[in-house]
Amino acid sequence: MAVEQVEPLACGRDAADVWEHAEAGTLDEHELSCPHCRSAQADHDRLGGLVTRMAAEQLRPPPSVLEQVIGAVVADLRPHELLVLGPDAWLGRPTAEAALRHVVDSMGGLRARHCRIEQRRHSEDGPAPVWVRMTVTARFGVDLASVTARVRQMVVSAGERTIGIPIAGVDIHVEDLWDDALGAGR
Amino acid sequence: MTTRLRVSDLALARVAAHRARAVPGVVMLVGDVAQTLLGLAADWLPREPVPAELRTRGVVATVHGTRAEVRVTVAVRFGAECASLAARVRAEVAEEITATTGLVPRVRVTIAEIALPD
Repeated sequence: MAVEQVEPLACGRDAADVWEHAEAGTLDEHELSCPHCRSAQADHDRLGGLVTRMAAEQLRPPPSVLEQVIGAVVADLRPHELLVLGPDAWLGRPTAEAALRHVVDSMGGLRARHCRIEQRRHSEDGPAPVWVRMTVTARFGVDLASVTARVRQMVVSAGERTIGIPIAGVDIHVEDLWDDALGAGR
Repeated sequence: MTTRLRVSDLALARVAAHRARAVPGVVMLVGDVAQTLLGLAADWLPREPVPAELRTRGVVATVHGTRAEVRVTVAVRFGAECASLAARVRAEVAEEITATTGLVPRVRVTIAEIALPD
């Protein structure tokens, strides 16, 4: 993916750098104390936890009759619902969108509402990059200035680690806020 | 005297399904609606019980002479990287088919579901 200038966290740091330092264990003093960098680190740890926990999980019990039928209906994918993973390999778009919503849902103070993945025409070498549009709601009080950087970093990393298609860009839309104290819904 | 081997579509599908299910990261094979309903009907009519490891739901296989076409639809666990997992399923299924039947298959793989935690 081309190197480009991206929206930094509210403190001015790049979320990707914070993730990289967290991965390598080379966090500097600022990153260890700054609240914006701390939430980016928490995102990094969450994705790591999700991926390793799921990868280690045992096989599910055999599905019930109803689950099998629902699964078959859901799996009946039309050509426009498929993302190209490589030569003769495809991935259902609805399930890829659900996976990205799931990782964003796991982030502190954020809930994913809608996710849309779009893939332009197939490229010759490897899968064509995708564009992701994510709509989220945030807990009242969450630092919105950092949300873009955090969600972008989460989507790009999760997309590359769990889907394997390069991500060309991420559009993030904060649609609403909720407040735990009021018991307001997601 | 010449001897010719013909492998049926069903035998090919069984080989493909068995190998695809064994790839780490694959949770199960996912049949389309028709296959699933037929499979369920067959479960209720136990004339010829098919052991679970030989079920072909999720695989469509056709033999044309020495070539074969196989379509495999799988569900994978979240956390596995889909692109390389799909490539691995394609490679392993093709290898198994060539090893056991001598056919040279074209294998297409679709990941229909990423299994998320409940």
